[in-house]
Formats: sequence, structure tokens, C-alpha cells
Amino acid sequence: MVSGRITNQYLNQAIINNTMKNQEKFVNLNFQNSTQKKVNNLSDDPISLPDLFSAKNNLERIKNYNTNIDLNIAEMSTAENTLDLANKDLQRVFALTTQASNELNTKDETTAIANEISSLLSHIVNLANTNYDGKYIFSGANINTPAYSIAGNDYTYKGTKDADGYKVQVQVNDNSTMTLGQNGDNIFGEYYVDGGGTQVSTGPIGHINELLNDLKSTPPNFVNIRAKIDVFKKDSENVTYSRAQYGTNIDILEKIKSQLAQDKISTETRRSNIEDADLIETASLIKQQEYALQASLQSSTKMIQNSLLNFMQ
Amino acid sequence: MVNIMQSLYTAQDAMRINQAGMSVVSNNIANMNTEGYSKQRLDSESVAFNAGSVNAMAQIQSGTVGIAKVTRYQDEFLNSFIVQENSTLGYDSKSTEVLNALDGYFNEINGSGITGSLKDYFTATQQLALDPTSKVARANFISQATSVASEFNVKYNQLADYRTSLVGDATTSNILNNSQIGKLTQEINNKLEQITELNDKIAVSATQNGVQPNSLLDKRQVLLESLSKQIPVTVRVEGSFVNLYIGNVQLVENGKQLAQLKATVGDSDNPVIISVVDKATGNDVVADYKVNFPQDQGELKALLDAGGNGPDSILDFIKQLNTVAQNFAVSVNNIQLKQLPALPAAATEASLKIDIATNKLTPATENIFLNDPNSALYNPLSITAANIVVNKAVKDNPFEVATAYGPVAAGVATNPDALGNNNNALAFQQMRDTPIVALGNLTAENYYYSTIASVGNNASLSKSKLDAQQASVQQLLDKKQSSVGVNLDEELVDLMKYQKAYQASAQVFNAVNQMMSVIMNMGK
Repeated sequence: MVSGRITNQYLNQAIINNTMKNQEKFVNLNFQNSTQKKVNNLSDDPISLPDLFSAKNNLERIKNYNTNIDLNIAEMSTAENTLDLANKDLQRVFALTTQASNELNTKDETTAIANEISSLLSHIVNLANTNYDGKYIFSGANINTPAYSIAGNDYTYKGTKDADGYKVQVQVNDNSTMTLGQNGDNIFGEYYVDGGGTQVSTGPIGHINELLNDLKSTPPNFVNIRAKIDVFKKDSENVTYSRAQYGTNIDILEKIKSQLAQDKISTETRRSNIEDADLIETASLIKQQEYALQASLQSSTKMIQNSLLNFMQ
Repeated sequence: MVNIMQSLYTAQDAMRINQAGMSVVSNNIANMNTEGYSKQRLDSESVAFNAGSVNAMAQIQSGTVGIAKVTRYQDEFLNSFIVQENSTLGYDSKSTEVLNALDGYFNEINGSGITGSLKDYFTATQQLALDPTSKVARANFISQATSVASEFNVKYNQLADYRTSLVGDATTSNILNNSQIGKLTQEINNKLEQITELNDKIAVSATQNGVQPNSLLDKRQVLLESLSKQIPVTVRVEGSFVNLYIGNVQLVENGKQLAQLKATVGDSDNPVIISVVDKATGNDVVADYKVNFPQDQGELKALLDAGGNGPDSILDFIKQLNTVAQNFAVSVNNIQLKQLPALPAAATEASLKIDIATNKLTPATENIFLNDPNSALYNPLSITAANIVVNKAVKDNPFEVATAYGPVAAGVATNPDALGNNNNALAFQQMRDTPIVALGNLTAENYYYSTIASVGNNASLSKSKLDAQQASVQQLLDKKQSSVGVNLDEELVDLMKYQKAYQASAQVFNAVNQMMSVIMNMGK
């Protein structure tokens, strides 16, 4: 502020400066209002910038993790359903084995049982070779390879084995990856003659093949068949366990997902606090600024209009 | 003895003086909006006739009026203060201008630029990890990597071009002369020359005509004020001359210019060297302006600082950009090829790509990022934001990307069918959270965020510094305006004052005239 002489240049300059200042504030507020953001330039709030960027980054990650989780939940639900069907087949095999263990069965009856078990075996192998979204879900990392190849009497597992060291992992949040899929040989087993001529026979596939051999032998090997009743009970439990594993993982993923939803809300709040304009505040500031601008223009024009010139003749 | 004729002369003088007063007023009004114009005032004085005469009527002071001088309102103290403060203002406003430009270049708040491309790149790694056999996911990964590289290139070029426009690019003097600093140097030299010339003219007019050349003085003051924004000159007034110094080097002495500035092409760290050279001989008086005058004053110094290699210079930000580009590229490459330079025969694990001919996993051989499209010239330490580029081999065949990582025996994957293995793709994804030692234990993204934040911080600091300095200079200018500027009402009062005095003098003339007629008719 100046005391003493007020010169015309000072007056004009002061009016221009003040009007400019008011207009600048007006324009800035207007810009905030139209972008709905209070941070438009780096210099607007440099202290919060790293926080702002990392919040935006985290939101993106949360989105990515959600995509990961959704896709994998879908895949695991398929696996779970598949194992449910496989278990039903196994229970039927269990029932048929119990039936077959009756030594009074006629040959025809036994053949019929063997035929049904045989078709159940191929259904179970089909289930093990389930392809979801272009991936063989029980082949471990060998997603492009069907889990089982069938040649003659051999049912060979072609997927990844635990000992291989190849896994498929999924990143579900910042610090954890999960291995969600299960290698099929642990669930379904195998039945083949290895390079040394030894018969390898494990899991349901192995046991069903053994059962078929026992049924087909003349006379059927009833001792072995009866022994299989317990074996299939265990196999069924085993499949149920695997199925439960998928269920548990789906459960874990759902929990992580709801945690991510919480994170998303808090991160979004953090971002919004830094970046978003408070629209009500901006609107009222704009109104204030509008009045200030009008008032200053009004008083300024009055000030320069009046001079001695108006009163001289 | 009072002579009646004297009154006649006095009335005539008075009319003349009041006319002169009117012309000063009209000059003031005409120039009331001229920049640098200082109000003038007619100082009149009373002039006595035959002061030595002694007679009965001696008590009656007879005399007339004369022009003592036309005073130019000035305040030398304020002037020197303004000149001094202007140098700081010049530095601050130029620095702010540069930092505002950088603020614009680095403004990626809306998710564009490097920030956005890094984000998209990491999203692509996530898709890659989800579906490592998908050609689409792989192609997307490669195109996002390409976009990261090109965003680095673009940013580098923007900064480098901007730097060139400020201080040249250390190549030719032609580019330097067309840069801001080249033009500024010429402008400063022109101003020094003009001030020297004005010194001369003012001295001549003061000694020969005995008249204060007010308009020339105003002009010189305007030049001094604008020169002081550019370089921190010290002004010493010696009579009608002003002598100019920078530090203890004299630039202008009376009517002679002793020294001027010279811009020469420097090296990549400091693309321009400003020296002060002797005007006559061209020899260096001060070899390096930046070293000799280290205070933050004047636009010239602001340009030298922004274009130099100091902290917070453009080069500093370019270097940070290079650091993040290099470390990002090297980290990605180290994941892509863990077994550099070639897979040792004894290796038990390797990162694995998919061989498209056999559809089997096989050890990866190509880097993702290169410093030169010719992969034979690859040198991880040579990667910069300027040259970072995605390997053409990987671009042509996205299956070169190593998504798997697993056991190998004799250079062959132990389970070549494990195409779904995504350990390496996960490693690409997890790199997002992996601190890099060379980046001060920050992740690539966080390091870049901190660069952006420091640009914003500098811009904001510089802005508030400029605001403060502008306010203090404005106050001085207001003060000066208040003492030297034109006030219309004041002039109009003067106008009426001279008008009335003129009318009164004319009335005196008429009265004396009538008295003379009375005398003439006395004998009739």
C-alpha cells in the first residue's frame, strides 16, 4: 500500500494487478471445478505427489489382483466340479466293486459290471483331461498337454510332477503368491509299464485297472476284488480331500478379495483426499471470488472515472 | 526609482514563465502513462532589478520572475535499491519460468507419460503371468515394454530440446547464438552500449546547453532497471555519468564501454561459457562468469544454472531419467536372462522361453531392452533414456520372452512341456515391488515418482520465492511511482494555477498600458 501521492500510473497499475490477481484465482478455481481435481500441476501439492502416485499405482494393482483372483476362482470352481463328478464315478465304482465281490454273480453279470467300470474309467480319465480356457487344469504347468495319454492298457500321466520343480503360481496380493492348481497324478494316479518292465499302478486309475484285471481273469480274483472295496473308499476320500483343497483355496481367495475391496476403499480415500477438489468448497470459493472480482472492478472504475477534469470548465 | 516600464517587463516575463509552466504541465500530462517517465516541475525564482540602487523608493522591491530550472522528480536512493532488488527478481523469475516448463514436462498426474506406461507395463506382466502361453499376452507385454522405452525417449528429447533452447547443445555457435542465453548476452551487450551512449549525450547536453536532459535521464534509468534484471550490475553515479560494475569488474566508465559479455560453446555439462571480455582487445577479463559471480542474481545466472550441471538443473533431471531408465532396463533384462552372458553348461536352473517350432521350453537367449537396435552392441551400462529400445528379436517373436524359470540339465529344460510355468513372468511382475540398490533402494516407479515430486517441489519453492521478491520490488516501484509519477489532479491544479497567473499578468499588462496612456495624455 502506498501513502502520500497517488499517481495515475500507480493507480492504473494497481487496478490491473488487483484485477489480474482476482482473475487468476477465479481461473484456478474454475479449472479445479472443471477438472474436479485440486492437484493439477506438480507444484500444486509437491509434498503429497509420491503418495498420490503410489495410491494410484496401488489402485491399479488391486484391480490386477482382483482380475487374477476372479479368473482363478473360475478355474478352481471348474476343478472342484470336475472332482465332484470324478468322486461320483468313484462311488459308483465302489458300489459296483461291492456288487462284484459277490461270488454268486453269473459270468454275464460280472462282464456287465466290468463293462460299466471300464466306461467309468474312461469317464474319469476324460475328467482328468478337462480343458478350461485352453488349459488342461490337472496337468500342472504343462497346460498345453492333456494330463493322461492312453496307449493300449497304459494310462500315463503327462503333466508336471511335484518333483519337477515347475509350478504355476498366482500373485494374489503384494506379498503373496499361491500355487492353486494340483498335479493330476496325485489325485488320479497312473497305470503303465515303465522302461524297466515294472508295472506302475497308483491312485484310482491304477486301482480301477487292477480291478478290471481281477474281474476279467477266470475265475475272477474275488480276494483281490474284496480288498479293493476298502481301497476305493480311500481313493474316494482322497479325491474328496483334493476337492476340499480347491474349495479351501477358493475360500482363501474370496477372503483376500474382500480384503482387497477394503484396501481399495481406503486407497481410494487416500487418493481422493490428495487429489479431488471439494466441490462444495470450490463452488463457494468461486462465488466469493466472483463477488470479489465484481467489487474490485466496480470500485476501480469509479476511482479512475473521477478527476478534477470532470469539474473543470 | 521605480520605472513604470519595469512593471510592463515583469508582466511580460510572468506571461512567458507561466506559458513555460503550462508546457511543463502539458508534457507531464502527455507522458503520464510513459514507462519510466518522471514528473517534471518548473521552478521559478524571483529576479531583482538593479539591486544596488538606493533611493527613497528603495523599500519597494521591484523585480521580475525567471526560470530557475525544470526539476525532474527523482530519488537516487530508491533507484539504486530497485536496481539491486531487480537482480534477484530476474533470477527468480527466470528460474520459475524454467521450473514451470519442467513442471509441464513432468506433469503425469493424469496418468500419462512414463508413469502411465510403467503402470501399463506392469499390468501386462500380470496378464503374462496369468497366461504365459498366450501370444496376445506376450505381444501386449512387448508393446507395453516398447511404450515404456519410447516414453523415456520422448521425455529425454523434450528435456534435451528444452535445454538446447536455453543454453545450446555444446555443438555449434550458431545454435548457441539462437538460444535464449545467446540472445540474452547480445541484449545485455546492446544495453551496455546504449547506456554508454546515453552517458555521453547526457554529459554533452549538461555541459554545452546547461539544460538537464530529463528525458534522456529517464531513458537511462529504464535501461538500468531492465539491465539489472539480467545481470547484477552495481551503478555508481558520477556527475552526469553512471559507471557500471559487475562484482569488481568495471563495464562502463563515463562515456566509454570497457567490457562486454561473450558466450562461447562449452561442453555437455555446461554447454555455454559466459566470459567478460575487454571491449577493445577482446581479451578475457573474467574467464567464467558462472564461477566468478556465484550469487543467485540476474536472468543470465538463472539460465546458466538451469542449463548447467548443478543440482536441480535440467541435466540433473535428465540424469535421473537416465538412471531410472537404465536400472529398469537392466532389472528386466536380468530377469529375462538370469544366466548372462550365456547359459553355463553346469547351470541347474534357467529362465526359459517357448521355442515356437517345437512348442517346448528352452533357455532364453535375447534381452528385452537394448541400448542400440543392434543387439551385438549391447552394454547394460550404456542404456540411457535417450537410447533405450526393445530388442527387435523379441518384438518379432514375443515367444522369446522368458516366462518360465525352472530346472535345466545340460542346457535343456528338465520338463520342456511345462509351458504354463510362470515363475519368470511373476518375477517380471514382482519387480514392481523390488527395491533397486542403484536407485537408493527404491523401486523403479517410486524413484521416478520422487523425481517428479522434486520437480514439483522446486517449482513450488521457486514460485513462492518469486512471489515474495515480486512483492518487495513492486513495493519499491510503488514507492518510486508515488514520488516521481504523474498525478492528473495535481497537474490540473497546476494547469489552473498557471492559467490564472497568466490571466493576472495579462491584466497587469493592461493596467500598466492604461497608466502609460494616462502619462501620454498628460501634456494635452
